[in-house]
Amino acid sequence: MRDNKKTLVLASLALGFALLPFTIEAHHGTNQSYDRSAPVTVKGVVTEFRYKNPHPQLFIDVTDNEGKTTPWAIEIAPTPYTLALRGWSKSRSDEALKPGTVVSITLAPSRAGTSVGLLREIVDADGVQILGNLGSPLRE
Amino acid sequence: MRHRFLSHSVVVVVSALVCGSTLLAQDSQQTEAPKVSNWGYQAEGPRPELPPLDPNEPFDAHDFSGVWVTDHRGTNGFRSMTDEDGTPPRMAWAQEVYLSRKTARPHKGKEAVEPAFGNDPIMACNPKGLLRLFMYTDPAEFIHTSTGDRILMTFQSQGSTRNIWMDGRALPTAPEPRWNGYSVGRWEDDTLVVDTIGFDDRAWLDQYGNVYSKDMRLEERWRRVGRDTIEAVYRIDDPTSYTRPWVSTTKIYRRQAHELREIFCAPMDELYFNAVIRDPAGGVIAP
Repeated sequence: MRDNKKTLVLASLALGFALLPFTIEAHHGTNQSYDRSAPVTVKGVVTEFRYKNPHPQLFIDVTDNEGKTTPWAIEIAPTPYTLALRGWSKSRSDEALKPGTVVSITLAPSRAGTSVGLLREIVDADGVQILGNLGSPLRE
Repeated sequence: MRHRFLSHSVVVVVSALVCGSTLLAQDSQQTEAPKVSNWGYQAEGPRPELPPLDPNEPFDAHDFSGVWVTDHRGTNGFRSMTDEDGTPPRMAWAQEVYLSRKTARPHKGKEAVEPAFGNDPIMACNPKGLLRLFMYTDPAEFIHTSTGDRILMTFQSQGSTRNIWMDGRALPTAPEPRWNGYSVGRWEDDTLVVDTIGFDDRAWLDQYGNVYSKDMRLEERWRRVGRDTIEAVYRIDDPTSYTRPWVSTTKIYRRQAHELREIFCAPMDELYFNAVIRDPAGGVIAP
């Protein structure tokens, strides 16, 4: 059964993020590595979440229809400093993205074709946005 | 006899209770709510907010106490002294060094590279240097010492600090190179003027790899123009690197209600990130 209170909190956070767009200051320009014009969505299970500098990292296992599992590494451009400004403390982030959490992630994939991407949005198994509205045009 | 003893005992007990209650009441009146961390990026409570700004609210122009962050709105992530067209012509050696510095940040005259192939020293947790700290996205705090002998600036990024000596001392004649240089300051009316020399020239001036030499003399002019706003203009005088002085655009700093977060560049975190994100994103896979 969905936790209505949790849903309300997450919805509020999502709205808050919508009103406070993150300025993407990807790590020393790692934005250079990603194709933001062609986002993809992958669904998987969180294996690890690191709320660390220079940028938090989310690791998920994505299993395809044939049962093959591919590990993905996802860069979260907002730093812990920026996340915390928006209410995403370490404890809250760790809870929302603890190992075993099923997530659907929209990301900008690496131009090199590796299973690495820049996070755009995370949606949980109930379809509630955990983190999103990331990205603003970077100076090209 | 026994009755008198019991009566006395009751009196003693009641007295003790009354006294205890009195003391407890006094203690409660005198005890204030314990101070808690000013949010401190733990985000465990309401985010602290500045009081509503009254345009007529007086402020001490000579008091920079507090946490301030560079206002980058409208810059689209571009962080340097001026825009690219405002960069002074570089001396030949400086131009060569500038071109050798590989960064993922597009800039005039050179191509951006994959971060995995960049050589920005901060990507191995080397110090950013003063100018880069000024222009970074993380805030800094001014702390005035009680003796007035200096103003301390502590930067959230890299946990870096520097002293602005306000005691009238002269700059050193043979400064040793420092990542943040050696600074002395003075007030010119309501402008804090800071002179800094003795820079370690291994740091980049900005994220684009612009150069400064150990001979650079940096002048900063800081002015608090409102309760929550400080403006700053920087002037670089480095004839070893540039054909003319370089004066920045006016930088704006906004006061924040929260305390600084601890952020060291820990190589264990930086190098791990490079190995699992930065390099694979650039197609570099460790064997």
